Amino acid sequence: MKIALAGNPNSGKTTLYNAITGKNEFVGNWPGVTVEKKEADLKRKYNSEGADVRVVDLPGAYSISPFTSEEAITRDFVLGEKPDVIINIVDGANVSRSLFFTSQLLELGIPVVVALNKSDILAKRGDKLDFNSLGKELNCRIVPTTATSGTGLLELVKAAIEVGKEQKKQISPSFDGKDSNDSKLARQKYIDQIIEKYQVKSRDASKVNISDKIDRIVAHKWLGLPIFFLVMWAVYAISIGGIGGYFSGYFNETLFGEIIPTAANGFLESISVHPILQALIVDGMIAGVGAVIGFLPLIMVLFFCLSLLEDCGYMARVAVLMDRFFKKFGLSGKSIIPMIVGSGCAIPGVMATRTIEDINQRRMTVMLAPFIPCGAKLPIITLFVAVFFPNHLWVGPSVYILSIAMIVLGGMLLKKIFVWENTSQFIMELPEYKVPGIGHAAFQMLDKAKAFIYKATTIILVCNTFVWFAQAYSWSFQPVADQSMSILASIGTFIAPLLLPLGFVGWQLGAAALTGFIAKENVVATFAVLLAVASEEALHLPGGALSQFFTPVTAFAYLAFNLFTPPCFAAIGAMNSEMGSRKWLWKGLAFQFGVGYIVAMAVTQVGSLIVYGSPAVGFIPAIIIAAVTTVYLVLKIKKSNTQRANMEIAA
Amino acid sequence: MLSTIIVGAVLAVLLFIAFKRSVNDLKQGGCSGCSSCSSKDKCSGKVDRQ
Repeated sequence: MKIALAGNPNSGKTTLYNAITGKNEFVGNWPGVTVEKKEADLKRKYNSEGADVRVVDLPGAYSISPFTSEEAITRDFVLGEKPDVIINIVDGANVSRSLFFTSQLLELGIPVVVALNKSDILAKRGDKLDFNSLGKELNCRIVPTTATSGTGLLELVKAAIEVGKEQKKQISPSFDGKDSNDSKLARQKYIDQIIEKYQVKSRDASKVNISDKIDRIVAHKWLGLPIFFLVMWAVYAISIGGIGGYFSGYFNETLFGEIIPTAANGFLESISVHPILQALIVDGMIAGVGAVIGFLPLIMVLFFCLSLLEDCGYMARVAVLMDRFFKKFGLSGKSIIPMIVGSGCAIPGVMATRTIEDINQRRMTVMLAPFIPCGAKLPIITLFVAVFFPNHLWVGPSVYILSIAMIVLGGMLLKKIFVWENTSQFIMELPEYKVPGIGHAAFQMLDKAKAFIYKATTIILVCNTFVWFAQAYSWSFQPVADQSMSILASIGTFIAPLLLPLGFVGWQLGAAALTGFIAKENVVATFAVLLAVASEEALHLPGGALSQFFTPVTAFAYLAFNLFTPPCFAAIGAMNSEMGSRKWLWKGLAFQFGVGYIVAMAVTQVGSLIVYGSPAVGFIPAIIIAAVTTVYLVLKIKKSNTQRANMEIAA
Repeated sequence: MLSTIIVGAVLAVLLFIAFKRSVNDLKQGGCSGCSSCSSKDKCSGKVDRQ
């Protein structure tokens, strides 16, 4: 038997799915978290008879007529694969809107059981719904549930299995104007009528409540952004300066800096392992993987805090706040959702662009969403902040502000370069504020920690081994006494001239940036391997081994370079799928590389002039590149303007 | 000498597993390129292989 979970976005489908299947799919307190269908067996607890029951979690939809591509997934599944029963999750906090979709599902002939979810919110508001009578009106069973606590789920699943076994055709409710040209209006009228009949609201919706009062402050057009910056500053202060920073310091300096390498060296020497193998293990694998794992406590605390913010409903307000700015620059307000999701990982961030209806805005968002620092970029940020800006906690959050600024400027530029028009409107339902669940946040944190460790012990480990080998051997596979004679040095030297206008001197910087394209954490791991061999100084300490390559200004520029240049291979793969065209993928990658390059160049050259009073290395090539880029952009914008004018005349 | 061979063999096995997983993740579109992935079916560590 196949049970499909369908309902409006943010009605709690995935929470319910996780509860009845035992899975732990990502849930979020905003609409549009689920963009793909997910399938799993029903948990034994809910399946006492041991029947073969599969549960399918579908992306949220407001209507059976799809407006976005993830709504189309829901429509196609329900109509094409015909599940045995549909559990329609109705948002108890917004019954009227949810029932529009319910009424359409009831017309498909597939048996429907309604889960009146978030019934706790309904009760808290003092609203009453006569769900028995409503069920009779709609010809289906209605079970009140609270997916977060598991209330009512046993009864719901039991009802769904019973209805599924009966295999009776669902009888649809009848209402006036159902088959008229204005059927949508007639349907909404019918919904409004039955809501009036069966729901008793004790709250006057026109009255200002606490949630509205909070929104007036945190989503205020002038106060909103400074509040967002303060919130992010606090998150970073707790993560980097607080408990996360303390444990990361211990991991980097003591655990992976002394205890593990000393123990490994002692053990390998005691069993007389060959020194080259010993160096590979200690200087290559332990140093590289350790440098990344060292940031684990800090990243766990950061994601714990972000999860709390998201769960309480604040991030949805940030989306609304950004809409004002984004709309002006040709982006959809919905673009903020991929960007917030992308703060964990660029891949689901890029995938979340499916919620954007307009193809041009979607492509634009695919190009811009990876600008937000993902979890993989955090080790680079925290390493550079720890080494070059140890007493400036504002540098961490400033990276986010720089990202937002580049998204806005990038959006403006893309709109000018390409002949695009803004066609869609952003409507986002703000979820109720709620006390964030500590358990939920802890779960998210552990989940991300597991993914982080998995990554460190797979692709990072493989890359580190290659980096160690490439820095220790020449092209003739002979060990080298000096790293500058190695394979890695020759690769880095090939790239190094390109980085000169950015003020980055040294093949090591080119090599680290190159490995960063495979996975961003590799930047840190590559420095760790190179410096573990070549330097006695610690990597993570202020004024440590990294200081030989950077000034604070060029260090910030290197951060910007790694932040804005194309993301890792896997994220590029996701970009390819969502762009829907190889041509647009290359355009997107060229745009990202151009932005990363120019921003890093500007930070280095302008920053050096302001801070040190003299330009950095590569000033003349930087001027030439800046001039060529400006001429190219002016010509390109002119061409686009002409095209736009011709289109207007033709229209 | 024997210890070098044993440690080398263990290391080779570990690296082979890590390499194979990385390649599989990339082939299946699993996220082996970014950590902290929140989309389970794309996150390499937890691809739901049912």
